[in-house]
Amino acid sequence: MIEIAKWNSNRLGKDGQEILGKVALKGITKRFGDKTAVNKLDLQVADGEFMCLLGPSGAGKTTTFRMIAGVERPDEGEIYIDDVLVNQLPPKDRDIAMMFQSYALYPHKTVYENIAYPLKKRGLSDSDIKNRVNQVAETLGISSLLDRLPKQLSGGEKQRVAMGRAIIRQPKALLLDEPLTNLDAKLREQMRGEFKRLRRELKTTIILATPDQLEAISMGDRVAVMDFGNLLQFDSPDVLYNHPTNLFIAGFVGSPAMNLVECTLVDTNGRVLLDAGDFTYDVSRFKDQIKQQATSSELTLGIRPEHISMSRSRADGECYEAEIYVVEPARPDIVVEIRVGKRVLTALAPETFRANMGDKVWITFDQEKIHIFDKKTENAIV
Amino acid sequence: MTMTSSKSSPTSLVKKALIYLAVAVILIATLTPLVWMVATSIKPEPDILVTPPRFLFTPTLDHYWFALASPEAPLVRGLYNSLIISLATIALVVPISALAAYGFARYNLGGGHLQFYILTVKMFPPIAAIIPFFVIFQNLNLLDNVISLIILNTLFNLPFAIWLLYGFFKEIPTDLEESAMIEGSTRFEVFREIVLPLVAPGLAVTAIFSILFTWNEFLFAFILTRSQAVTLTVAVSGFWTHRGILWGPLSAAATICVIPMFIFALIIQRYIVRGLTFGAIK
Repeated sequence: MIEIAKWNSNRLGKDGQEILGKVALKGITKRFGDKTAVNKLDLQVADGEFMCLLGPSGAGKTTTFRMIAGVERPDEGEIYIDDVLVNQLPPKDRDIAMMFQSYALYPHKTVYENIAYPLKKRGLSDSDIKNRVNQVAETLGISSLLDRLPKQLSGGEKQRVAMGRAIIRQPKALLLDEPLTNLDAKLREQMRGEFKRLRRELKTTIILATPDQLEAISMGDRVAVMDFGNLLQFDSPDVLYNHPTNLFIAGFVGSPAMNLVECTLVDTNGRVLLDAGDFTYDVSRFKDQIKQQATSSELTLGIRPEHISMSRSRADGECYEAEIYVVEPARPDIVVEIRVGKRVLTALAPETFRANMGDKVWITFDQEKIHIFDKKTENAIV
Repeated sequence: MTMTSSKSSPTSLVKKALIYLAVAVILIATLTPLVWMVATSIKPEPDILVTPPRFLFTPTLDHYWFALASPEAPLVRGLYNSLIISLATIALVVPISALAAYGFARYNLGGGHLQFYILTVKMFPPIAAIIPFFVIFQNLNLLDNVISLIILNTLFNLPFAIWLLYGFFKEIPTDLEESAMIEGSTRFEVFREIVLPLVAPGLAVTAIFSILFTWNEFLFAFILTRSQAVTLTVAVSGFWTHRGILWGPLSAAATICVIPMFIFALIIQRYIVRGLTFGAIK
């Protein structure tokens, strides 16, 4: 017990407040051959933050993790953990835990030995290790599995064991590389809640990589969106959802996805319109912004499904006649695909919505919630 | 229903018969010399070289007593030396090849060229090097010394051992090793605690092959030894005398030579199979 106290005291600051890890990346670049896996990445993760790294496969998430953990050296840039430059520090001295997507459980060691491994490396006594392993196993609900070998475990159980091994030594930061990707849908949903609970108990900085936008925006305090090695946006889930700075994020975050309509900017009689071919949308009120930021007249109009409202009768203001195309009752919401001319848009309707294919409706866009992107630079204008 | 039953279909019966036939041919070709050798070793002298061969005879152990007592063929010393050389060789080959193969598997040492160069040692006909080796060991005062044979057997077993183990190391996911490093291990601790236990079947196979090759090695031992360091294979050849070949004692000695490896093979055969089919560690 003395040893555990001593070991824990290393984690306490002067005022007895527990130190949570701070991770900062400055201008990190990593190339493999002529492929740039991570490009000039700047990222600052605050103490005790739950940060999500969101991006499709190949975005550079795993490479970023491997550089933070120290098993990969960046070609350029600096990595700081708790304000200490760690570029030259071997992985074992960084006090970072990482859970691999493959779980990386040692096949020849039992669950107990797997979880105990990091503590053994720190030279804790057998009785301390035993207490701690039992405690963690209980937290994760795997106490009955301690004598098994990894090959005797199900996917969800393996995931818990890997989690146990990662959290047992209370690292400065916990890196979770797609921890839920290999689980089935139901378990994934359940584990999302569990991660949030664990986070409260662990009081450690957590960085989670995921290709699933729902995972990222439902768990993260802040979400960093990456694509092709570039950081596109790093904001809270709210900002990310409501103010995507980029066409890629607009299409990637949110489900069902934002409607993105390619338009041409036209100027008629002092009114500025977006011409989508099948309909035009008045953007006169954004005239100045568009003039300043657009690189051409090719723009993309973005509108989220929940910001399209449908009614049986013609409403005031700008509205379009549309036809019901597909109705998908994904309860509690109802996803409706509607056709305006030849263009198909997705809208969300309340549960009470009833319609048949081919019905005529009038749709309006929520004026406050529309987005306009430059088609070429993909940057948000509005 | 008999249509789908493979046992009763005539084509599969033919197939089965052909397989058995092939197995029978292979077994006969493999076992006949062995059986012949053992039979000759227990035949009375007059029954050995007669035509047609005699299959009925009164078995005798005379050849064994003669072989073991013969000064021309120091079997007991040979047995002892072969054992020492084989054990020393694997004691060197296994650790050296494990470290070398791990280096190749993880660090791509020499960009593949070095690894290929090592394999070329195996392509080299040993007899072409025997005279230089003789001179070298003469200068080192190591002729007729087990040390020279341990060195040569190690050298000529390493290429195969390294290539064999390279495959085993390549099978281990790097995630496991990186995970262990992040959790606080040095590269060497990872090698010892994670990698080696996982390639244990590979290490066993490597040791087994090395011991078999070393035990059966004849050329170097024949040239480099005279009396003190003779191996079992060289001792057996002692019955090839200027008076002629002493078939009875020769067969007895050869049988003595084969028996330890035969027993060894029986014990370890399941490890060989497991080792060579190894790969399912995930």
